[in-house]
Amino acid sequence: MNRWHLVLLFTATLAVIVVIATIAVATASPKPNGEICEPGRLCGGPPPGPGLLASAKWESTGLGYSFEYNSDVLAVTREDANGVELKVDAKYAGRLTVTAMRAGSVTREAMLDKEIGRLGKTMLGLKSDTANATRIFGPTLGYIDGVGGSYRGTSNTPQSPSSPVTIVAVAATDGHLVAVVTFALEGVDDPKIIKLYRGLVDGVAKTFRWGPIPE
Amino acid sequence: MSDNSTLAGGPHDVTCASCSHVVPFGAYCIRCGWALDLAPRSATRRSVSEGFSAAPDEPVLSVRIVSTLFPQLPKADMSAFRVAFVVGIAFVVGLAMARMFSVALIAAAVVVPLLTLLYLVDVDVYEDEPLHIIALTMIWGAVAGTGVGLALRFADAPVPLGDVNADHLLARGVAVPIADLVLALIGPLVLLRYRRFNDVLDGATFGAMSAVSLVAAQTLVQASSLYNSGLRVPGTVMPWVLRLLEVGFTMPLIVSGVAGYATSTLWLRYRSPIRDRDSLGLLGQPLLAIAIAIAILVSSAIGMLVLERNVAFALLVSLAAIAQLLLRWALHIGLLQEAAEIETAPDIRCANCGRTTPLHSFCAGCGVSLRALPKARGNA
Repeated sequence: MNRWHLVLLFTATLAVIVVIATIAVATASPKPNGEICEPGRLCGGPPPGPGLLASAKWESTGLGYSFEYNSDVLAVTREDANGVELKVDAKYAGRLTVTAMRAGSVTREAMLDKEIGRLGKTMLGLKSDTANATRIFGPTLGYIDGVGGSYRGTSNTPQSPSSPVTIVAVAATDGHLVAVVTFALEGVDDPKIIKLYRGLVDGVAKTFRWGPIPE
Repeated sequence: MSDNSTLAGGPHDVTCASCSHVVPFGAYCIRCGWALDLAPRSATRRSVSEGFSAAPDEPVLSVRIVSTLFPQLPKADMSAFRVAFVVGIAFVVGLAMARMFSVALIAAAVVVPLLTLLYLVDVDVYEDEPLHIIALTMIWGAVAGTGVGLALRFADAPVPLGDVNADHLLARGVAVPIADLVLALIGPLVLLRYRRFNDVLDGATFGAMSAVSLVAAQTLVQASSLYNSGLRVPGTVMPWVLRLLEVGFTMPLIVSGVAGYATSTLWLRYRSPIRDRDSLGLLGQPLLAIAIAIAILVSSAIGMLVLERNVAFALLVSLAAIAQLLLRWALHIGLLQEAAEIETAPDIRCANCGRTTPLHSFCAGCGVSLRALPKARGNA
């Protein structure tokens, strides 16, 4: 075989593989979902889901804050006096963490960045979510305005990039404490399901109480 | 000297200053490949600046991907494979820049296996039993890689987000790389019992082929949930570009290097004459070679888990260079040792330079190892 025919054959084969892969990926992608709220259009209320059915309470023994969570879907996997990690016990893998520090040594922005940076260590290309369907406007925690939003990336392993990950993070302060709630959902790219699971964060954010710091 | 000139059968034989054999006059010794107009090689020259047996115009201890990964390529075809490599990289980076990460990942995974298949077709190395060889190397690797990929996709615990825990480090950083290596070696080991594939070069080729297809299949299967995420997976471009270069190039170079090195030591140990079995020194002991291979694979996996993205990339590039050097060194020594076994036979035409040379181990005209050329083209 002529040496340049080799290059041509390789290029053509690779091009065919890329075209087939493009068609396959485009075909397998989730279709636009008519139920997702879009700016400027009436939206049919929050999506139904387990997020608002809080049924268990967790209280920080070190910092005094508390929140409620749906114990049918979330289970405590790790905790200490200042924070807790809960695992989603459902079809998709997810993890919700709540942690706090005394205000003064850290700002809510710095605490948010630290958490996002920590989560980003095992992720590839983590960036702010700009999709209208899943981005967050006006984040609050315990009815106090905070900072944060939605982030998208891909979980990464030494063997390969693995699956899409959506992260929601909200940080706020009442002047005494700085708290941050993060929720990471893995393996889901359907905006409808992402919004459904994000109801779990809404439940925590709405039941969050900035209690007095124990002496 | 014209390309069709005859270099053998001249009136004067000469004594090679390097191997001390009496050989036909020519530019290179047909037994050891040494340039006959040079002084005897010293131990230092042998290890540092000597020409690589499969490509005499390149030093042994240099990182040359094409001549190491595809040692039986004639020199004329090496440039085509280099261009193909660059085309492959351009495809992957171009797709990543267009933010088509999942398609770029598929392209990255198939570049090196595709080049390997093309190499087999081009050199027609195993013209008598191509299916037998491909089944026990590339197809075996693909099947094993698919199995590991499915296990990682469905049986492994979810990837921890944030801090890497000990279980994940042990599973993904240690167990999976070791399993990959063991599986990559199983197919080629079946071929070890066939005496017709008794060259070190055969062993190295089989190991490398099996390993690259295993890693490609594992990557494609494990990443399958990304294919449902649309053409444009959310994410920043530069981290993806680096990761795709790792998936498509550095990892295949690492696994092919260490698997080829490990299989070449097995071939040297069990297929070479007894006196040649220590020719690679300590590095030629199969158990040590497998331990080194595991150490390199585990280091690369743990590096990716715990190091910052750019540092991990630099580590992988360094490990890929080391793995390729190990493979290249094993190939070189294997080819040199096998050369001493052969009696001189009638002339053939060298597939590398086109000149006539005695059928032995190295071309008297260009110094290429005739064992590193396609069997169909009349090598020893």
